Amino acid sequence: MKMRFIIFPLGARFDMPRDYQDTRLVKLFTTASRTRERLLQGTFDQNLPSNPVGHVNNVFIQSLELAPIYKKIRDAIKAEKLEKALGRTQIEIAQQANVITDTEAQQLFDFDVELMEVIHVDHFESNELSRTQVANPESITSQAA
Amino acid sequence: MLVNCLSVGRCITLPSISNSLAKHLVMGTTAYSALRQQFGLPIAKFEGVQKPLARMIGLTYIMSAARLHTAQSLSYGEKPSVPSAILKYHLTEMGRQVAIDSMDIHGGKAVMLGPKNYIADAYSSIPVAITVEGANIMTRNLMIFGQGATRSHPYVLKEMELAGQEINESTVSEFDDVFFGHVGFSMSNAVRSLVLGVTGGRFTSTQGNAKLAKHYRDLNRLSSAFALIADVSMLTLQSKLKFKEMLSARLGDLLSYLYLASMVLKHYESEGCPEEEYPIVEWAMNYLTHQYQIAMQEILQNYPP
Repeated sequence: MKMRFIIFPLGARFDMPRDYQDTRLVKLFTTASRTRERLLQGTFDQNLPSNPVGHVNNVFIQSLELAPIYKKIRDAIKAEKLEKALGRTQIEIAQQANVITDTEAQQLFDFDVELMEVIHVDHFESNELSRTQVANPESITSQAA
Repeated sequence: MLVNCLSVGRCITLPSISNSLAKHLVMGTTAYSALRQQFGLPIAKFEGVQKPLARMIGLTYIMSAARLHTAQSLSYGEKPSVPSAILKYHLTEMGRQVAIDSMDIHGGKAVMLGPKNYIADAYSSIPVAITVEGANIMTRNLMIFGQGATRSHPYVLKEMELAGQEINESTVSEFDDVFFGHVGFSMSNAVRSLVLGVTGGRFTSTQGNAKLAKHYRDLNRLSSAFALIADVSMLTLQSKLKFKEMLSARLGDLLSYLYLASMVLKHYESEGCPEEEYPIVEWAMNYLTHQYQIAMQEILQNYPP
């Protein structure tokens, strides 16, 4: 009891990080910030088929570059100049309504392919998941022996 | 001797692996959570996702700072056995937490083992770092505090040496000097802890960036409290302390959080105190001082009668 009074005379006052601090960190790392670059320096981020992290990071950087085009679509929806839709349909509607140019629409279509690639979970056909059938089980037994 | 030999590997290999895994997962998870939408919003905007995501970022910053600056001491020829034990335990544990958080955020994408899954391999390799080169349970319970307490104490080692010598007038007189020095040291720590506790460490001297002054004051205060509780434990429990592993582990936690917090401040200052980076430093300092507080409260609640 005496030790507690000496060490924490005014009570335990070291709080854990507040919610707003968590939000602030996430904002810093989900935008193009120098801090994100600095902390992740040295991480292998090349966009290669064998490096899925490099791929997801590359798509993220593309999304930041395309943000102004997406903003045009969002603004048009807010101003009720455009109907709200999902995915590729939304891009098509925006293109038809001349909210975005054909080049911009193509950029978004290309990006959408990449985005789906990143978001989709690995999928396997059922025959890929089953064990390979052994033609002659006895041969395995004899090999092991 | 064994620990000295191990310290180079423990200081570099395992902390670096854990840190690189954490960076890899932060890169993937921050990008994925900004891209993946649910109900028309990126999942990074959901507060439920922000909590583990921020923890991943904050812990990775602490790991990077500690790994970099402890490795630097090796390049100066030091054999930092206690810091290497701190890094071995805490960085591998933080790496495990980062991997768990990343798994939680990715959900099924982290479970299906295939070419797009960049989490599962990292997750399954962390236990290797945790169990090798001095398993984490042993490192925390026996090594972090246990091996440093006697050697780094200003009086205990001298007292032990004198107690083993032949009793004569000069050794008794020398022992008295050391012993009363020790008592004075303990009393001054008690008074210092109380005064710093009441004033929030306001009157201690700090240096460097003004923004960091509060954090340095907190560390001064908590260091004083650590010195007090460590000293009291050694005085009251004496040789029984080595069998009180739960207490020793928590005393080690106090030392570790102080060390990691110092590394965070050093790293920030070495980087030139970039304004944009301060939110991570603030998060890391709040996290580490809060963890220190939890460990201290557990010591006080469970102190042997």
